[in-house]
Amino acid sequence: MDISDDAKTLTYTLRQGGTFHNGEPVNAAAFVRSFTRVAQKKTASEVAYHLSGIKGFDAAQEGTSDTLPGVHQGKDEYELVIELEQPNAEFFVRTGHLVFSPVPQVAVSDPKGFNEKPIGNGPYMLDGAWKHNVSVGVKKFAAYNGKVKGFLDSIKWKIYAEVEQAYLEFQAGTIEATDVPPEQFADAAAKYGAAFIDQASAILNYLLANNKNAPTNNKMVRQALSMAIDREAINKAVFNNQRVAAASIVPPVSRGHRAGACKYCTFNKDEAKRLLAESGVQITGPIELTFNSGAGHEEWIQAVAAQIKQNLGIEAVVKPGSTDFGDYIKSLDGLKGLGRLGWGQDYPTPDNWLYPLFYSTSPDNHSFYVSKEFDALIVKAQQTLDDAQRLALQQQAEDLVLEDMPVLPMFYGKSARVYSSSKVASFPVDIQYANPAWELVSLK
Amino acid sequence: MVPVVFGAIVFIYIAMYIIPGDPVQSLVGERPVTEEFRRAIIDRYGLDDPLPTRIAKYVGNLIHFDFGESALSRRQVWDIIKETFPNTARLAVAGTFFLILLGIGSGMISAVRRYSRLDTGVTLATIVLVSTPVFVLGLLLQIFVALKLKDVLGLPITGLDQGLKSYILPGFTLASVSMAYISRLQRTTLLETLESDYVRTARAKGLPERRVIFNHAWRNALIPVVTYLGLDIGTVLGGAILTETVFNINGVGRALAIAISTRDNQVVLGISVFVVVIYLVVNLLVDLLYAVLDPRIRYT
Repeated sequence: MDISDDAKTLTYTLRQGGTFHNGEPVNAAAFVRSFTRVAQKKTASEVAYHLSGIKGFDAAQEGTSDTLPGVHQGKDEYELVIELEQPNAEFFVRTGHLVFSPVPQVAVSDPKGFNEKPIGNGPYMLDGAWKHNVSVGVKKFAAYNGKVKGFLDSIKWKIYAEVEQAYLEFQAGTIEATDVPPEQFADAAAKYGAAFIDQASAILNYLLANNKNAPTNNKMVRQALSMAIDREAINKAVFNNQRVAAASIVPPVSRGHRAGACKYCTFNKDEAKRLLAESGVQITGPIELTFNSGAGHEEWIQAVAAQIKQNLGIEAVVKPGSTDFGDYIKSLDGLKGLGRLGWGQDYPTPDNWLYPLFYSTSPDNHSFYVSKEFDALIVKAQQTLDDAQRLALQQQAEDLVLEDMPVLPMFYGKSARVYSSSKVASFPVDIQYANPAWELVSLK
Repeated sequence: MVPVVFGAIVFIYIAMYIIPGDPVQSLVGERPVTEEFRRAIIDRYGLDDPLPTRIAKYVGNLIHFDFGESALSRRQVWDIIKETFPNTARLAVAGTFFLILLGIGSGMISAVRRYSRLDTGVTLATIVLVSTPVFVLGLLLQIFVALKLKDVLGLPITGLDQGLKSYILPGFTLASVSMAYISRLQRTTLLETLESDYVRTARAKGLPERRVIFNHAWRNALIPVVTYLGLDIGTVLGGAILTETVFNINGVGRALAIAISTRDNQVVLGISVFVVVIYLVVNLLVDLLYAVLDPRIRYT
């Protein structure tokens, strides 16, 4: 892969001789076909936005054009060119997302058929019919010419409505690996030892502070609120330690994470009081705390309210928000206090945490945080081709956010899996995407 | 039947329409919906047509067995019903088997051996069953019968893919609540009939007790039970939602539960309409069954 100096053109050299599971060649045309299909309005793809930034994307989304001129073949059929509207030195990280996979012709000629019988180009191909909501299986694709060919001959995934059922089946020995329900983490860790793998996931729960409305429009008030919350205590009391207390924006599993980057995320009651006093803000009314109802957030929000009350002496009221996420998001515009939100990473780069949440014009920026300095750093990072320099700029931007505290980072999620140590030899988990790396899993 | 089905469709459609919340939002989860995506979905499913037009279109398509498309999986709703209903039907048969065997059977025993220890035991068991929620019973059976005793009994924890033994726990679970009611009902009605004049006549003319109970008393005592069974099909279908979810059975109940929680409206609507039709058909069959039980009832 090659990026032009202006960071606006990406040129990919594709591996020659690769084919789909039906024998069609994987060439530039297969990628052009795929990206165009995703961008077209008639496809109505909910993940199309990952392609935003590619030339012609907006017109294809609006339906005024059926083509995506920003993606085309280069000098021969094994060269793929992506042209961007704006410089983005990290666009290549995005292309690791599934939506950038190539598709065979049938995806366009018979989308319904393709939906039932997906045809890929990886080391494993669909094995038999996909039994919806029951099971789906894959077997080794003999003609695969990539580097990692996989160790298992076939894999069958059984589909459960609840993770608890899968865990029961695992205990009965009918399946070899499964996710573990959070309430069973401790039990599974004790029972299965090294065959229990838990890790922080790339999901951050945070408390959004409304940066426009009083009293959270004052940076020191936000710092004080953050320091008044004992994240570890809540993690223990409410989540039974099934979360990871957050002390940064960029999560532990992401590239560029720095432990303890957030100095206001450490619990310090006296410092919190001092910051609040120094801010000069007289908090008269109660501070609102809200969350989207019905998603299991009430208990920890209540705990946060209790801590704010106890540690800062400010009245904090919990106001349950709408169960409908769209309505809930809208209600945050008028928030006078803190509201719960979460963010899950799409691509393993700090930019995916910083730009969407804090760039002044991003649609995901619900805190109304506006910082010219931050915006400039992010734009500059996106134009910087050198990896180390870009990372340094992104960390500067993160530091800026962690000084201004437009949001209060609270908890990273945790996910856990178990595998049968008597049957499975190796069960690596892909840290970035928090899924088992199936092509590396092997049996004894 | 046709007006009832039509009324149900209109009612369910309007109910789905007035539920607050945004169906487009549910497709993307906890993320903002882009204007382009919203537009694309509205155009794809005709969401900005006026309500009467949408209902008329829906009913028009239903006549051709076109139940529309799931916005989430983009599969035909009719395909989802076709692949899930057989499982629910099999489960319902298993449930009915337990209902008849254990429900009616225990009711009869209670009546014939009134005030015996057996009667007290059955009464106690029915109270426990009635007061245990279906999902709790299912989970308890999974843990204590399927998992702890797996080497002894070998019953599967989830699914229906291991032959007849797969049906034992979910069938029992599905039947549990109704089983208890049926047992009580059968006890009462049989006791009543056993005290009626014609039974006394039968006894007086020297018939053996077995014939008195089975040929004379039971047939009449069964009519209220059959009526209850017919009405109860709604409870069974409702129970199927919980039973199928707990036992991970790919039936219409679980499909409906998933569709409701993901706000996959077209699937909710399609399955609901389908269930309404099934309910009506079963009730019709129950009506016809009366004639078999009671010679006085004749349909002309």
